[in-house]
Amino acid sequence: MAYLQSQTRQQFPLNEKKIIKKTLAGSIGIVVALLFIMLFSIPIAGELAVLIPETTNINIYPIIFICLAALVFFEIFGQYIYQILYFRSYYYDLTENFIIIKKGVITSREITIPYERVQDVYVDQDIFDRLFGLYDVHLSSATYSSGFEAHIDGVEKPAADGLKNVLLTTIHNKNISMQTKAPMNPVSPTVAL
Amino acid sequence: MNTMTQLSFSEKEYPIELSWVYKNLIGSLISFLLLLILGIIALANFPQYYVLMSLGLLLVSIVLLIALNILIRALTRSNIHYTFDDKGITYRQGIISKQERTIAYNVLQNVYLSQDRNDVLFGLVNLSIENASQGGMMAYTPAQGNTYFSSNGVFIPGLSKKNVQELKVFVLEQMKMKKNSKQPTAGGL
Repeated sequence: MAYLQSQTRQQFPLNEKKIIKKTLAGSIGIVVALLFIMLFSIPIAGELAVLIPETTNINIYPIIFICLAALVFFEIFGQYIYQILYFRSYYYDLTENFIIIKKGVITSREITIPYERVQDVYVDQDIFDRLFGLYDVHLSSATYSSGFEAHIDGVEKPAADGLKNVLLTTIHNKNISMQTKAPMNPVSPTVAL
Repeated sequence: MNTMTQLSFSEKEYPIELSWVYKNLIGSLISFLLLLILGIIALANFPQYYVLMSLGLLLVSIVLLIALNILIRALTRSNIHYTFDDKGITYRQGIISKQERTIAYNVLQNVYLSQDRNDVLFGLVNLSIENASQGGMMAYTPAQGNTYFSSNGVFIPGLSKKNVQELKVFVLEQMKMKKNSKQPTAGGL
């Protein structure tokens, strides 16, 4: 399976509830908007039916309802399929020297951050995460693009804690070895860690 | 090409692909066709000479716009120069006003690869190599990647997938090797 490609993801897996959560979060705005349209279109349709005498025989309300229900269905279904593909394409790996995060269904984005450059490890939950018991682990460097891209979202508590601990331990060790090795080897930049 | 043994390479070995110049053409052509269809529908009841004249004007202006776009992109492409060597990355760009930036490997924050939809069609990838400097206040949008000389690093658009991977591996390798050479607080150069 494509989404089992990295060891890190096997060790700290994304939870499949993420698909449902992102589908819900992604489509709720549009669904609410469609419901509002339906609510407001009922009196407008009534007015129109009075204005245009030919339409008085047609009951327009079921048509409005069916159209909007179909739109809601396709919106949610489309989101669901997209989120499944997104879930499968989600790749993150904590290698020896770098953190690699890669995602995207059609257009793919990949960010590589060295451990020494991680500014903070930050775990958060939005309202949908609370509902599903999921966590987002952010690990930005000092750049804007890392703020946008460098997060692993949709893991459960043990995986979030595990990721956080592994990251913090690795960052700590790297920084210690950098501080102790740098003054001792000022002219040999190729010392491997 | 083995990126590990070669000491220096530039846009000659890893060029911005020619398709980057015309990758937006498909989008332009689609909007042109849509305009054409709309125009024909809208002008259906007008006299024939009027319709022909309007469509002719539309055609000429679209062709001019596309030509201008391609010219600017071709000039942009031919004016981006970069050199990757063991000291750092030197990046020069600019058609009229010129900029040059040199970044050392040990101050790099991250390497970021991105694409837009047109890039996917032509198999292109953008490479951003960023440090933490905030020189300039230019708006930087990673999703679109429209700023070629972003405020915190170098942005090389339109590389082929193979080239972008080789450059990435080279840069990461250099970052790994250079990070112990100086204290983290020291300047990169």
